[in-house]
Amino acid sequence: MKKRILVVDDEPAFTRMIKLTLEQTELYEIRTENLGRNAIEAAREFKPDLILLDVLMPGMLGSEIAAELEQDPELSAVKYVFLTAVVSKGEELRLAGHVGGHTFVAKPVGADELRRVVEEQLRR
Amino acid sequence: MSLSSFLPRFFAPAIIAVILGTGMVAGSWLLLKSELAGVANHQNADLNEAARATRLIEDLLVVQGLVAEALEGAASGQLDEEKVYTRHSRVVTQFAAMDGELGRLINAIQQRPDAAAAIRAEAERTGHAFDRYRAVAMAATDVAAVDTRTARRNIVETYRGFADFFASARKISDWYLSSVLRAEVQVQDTLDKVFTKVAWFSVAGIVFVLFVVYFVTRAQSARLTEAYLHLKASIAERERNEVMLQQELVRHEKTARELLEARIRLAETDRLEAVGRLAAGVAHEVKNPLAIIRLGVDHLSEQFARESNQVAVFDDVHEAINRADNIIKDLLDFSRQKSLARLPTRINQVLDNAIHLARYEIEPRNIDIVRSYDDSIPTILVDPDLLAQVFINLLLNAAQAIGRNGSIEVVAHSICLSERDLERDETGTFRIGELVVTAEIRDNGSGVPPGQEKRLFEPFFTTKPMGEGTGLGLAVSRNIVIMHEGSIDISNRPGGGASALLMFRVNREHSANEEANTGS
Repeated sequence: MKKRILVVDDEPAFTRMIKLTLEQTELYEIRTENLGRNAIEAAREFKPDLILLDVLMPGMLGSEIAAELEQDPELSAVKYVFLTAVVSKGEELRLAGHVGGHTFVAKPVGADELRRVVEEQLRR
Repeated sequence: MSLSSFLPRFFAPAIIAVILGTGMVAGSWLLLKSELAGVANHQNADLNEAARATRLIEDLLVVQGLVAEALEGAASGQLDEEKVYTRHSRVVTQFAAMDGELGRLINAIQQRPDAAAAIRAEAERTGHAFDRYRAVAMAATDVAAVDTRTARRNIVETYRGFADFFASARKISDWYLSSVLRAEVQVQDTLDKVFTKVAWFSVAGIVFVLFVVYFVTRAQSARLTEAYLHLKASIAERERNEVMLQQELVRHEKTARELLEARIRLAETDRLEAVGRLAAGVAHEVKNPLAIIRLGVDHLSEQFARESNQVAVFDDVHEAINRADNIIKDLLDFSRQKSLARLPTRINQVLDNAIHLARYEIEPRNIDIVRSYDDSIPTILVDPDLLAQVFINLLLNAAQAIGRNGSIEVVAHSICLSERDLERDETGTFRIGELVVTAEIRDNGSGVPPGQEKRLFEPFFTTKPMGEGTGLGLAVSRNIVIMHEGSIDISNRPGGGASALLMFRVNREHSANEEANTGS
């Protein structure tokens, strides 16, 4: 059975690209969401195994969405991968892809790396 | 103590002492003079008295002679009535002459304090006898004028009792004379005593003056010595103060210089802060489209990879995306004054870590890395990740300066700073004698273009070909080093190539604790 991945980012072109990239593996079922405030409902309905979540979005921050979903017992097993544009070289080096127990991916991310991180997260 | 205040203090007591001493001597001499005048009067009076007493005695002797002659002549019949009478007349005259003197003598004896009761009685008796005999003598004279024979008999009768009178008159006269002379001796004694007194007063006055002058002088001399020492000490103090002032001045100049530099840096920081805020906005706005492009290009390249002549196009686009991404990441680094996560760190490990992370850039260029570390380098309190970022930056710069085929030497030591070492303390953080850890990255590349050493750390300054550097790497590195209170200097090596030298302070307390911990 395919793993479900919810992609939340305010850029429709970006979510499309991610959907394209991940669906190519034929391992995942992807749903995208471009409005932060719809993300929670979408998650409850879709019941993803993993959520790719943009940090800085108009209306609602990625971290707020994650915090709310973590309260839901039905979604307690969900993995999160954060996507962020505002990360420096030093932070990348220092944080090595993890912040506050979560995994993050710096934009722009390459297709190979994206797939690797997602696969890694779902295997855990 | 100044001379003008010292002199009155010295002279006033001395002058008072001299005046007092002179007063005592002068007073005693005035006393002596008045005593002398009294004594002189006394002496004159005494001598006068003595002379008068002597004269009286002589008169008495004369009368006694006359009386004796008259008595003898009358008894032997050798003197006729006429002659007896003549002598008698002379006795009477002599009596008249003695009358006042004898009365005075008797009075004087009654007055004298040294006269005993017996002599007073004697004097009184003499006075009575004198009065009686004078009356008898006068009567004899009156009778003689009438009847010479009766007269002669009367005279002789009268004269018979005279011997006693003469004896007692002589006795009181002699006593008076000796009394006067005794008094004279007493006066002499008194005079001697006065002289002694005056002499003692004078000596006491002189000694007093000498003592006062001595003590005043001694006190003043002590004060003078004290004043001298005080003056000497204050001169030394002033010299010390001058030296301190000079040092203070030097320090102030240095502080002023540092302040100016800090102000310049602050202005720079302000500018950079604005850049930083801009950078964060730019990062968000540019990276999102870049992310779309990146995934899009990756997707396309996967679709078209088989058409091998298109691979190069995709590689170029990848490279361009990376460049744009790198610029923004550098900008973000540069603008973020992060707080440090300081940990006791071995610089060797940080260097090894940086070399490991930079190896993908270095190895393909056929560049050797030679490590030369001291084993005994103490740990330093730094943020190892940030320092690694600095070293990666410097290693990549070195690799780019070499291009291909060369070597990079990575050297780490701990040293006590000498004056020569301070020449490379670009931030002016260190002092001679401080214990520091140094890390140096030496390359044999193209070196820094002449005159550009100072500008290397300016933001957006780059000596690299267009597109290879953002011009922020060294500015970021320098910021990180300054946050660690360290220094970074890049200069050309004498044999070619460049050397980047970093210095970090060893916190002795911390390293002592470390040693204690590792020892236990």
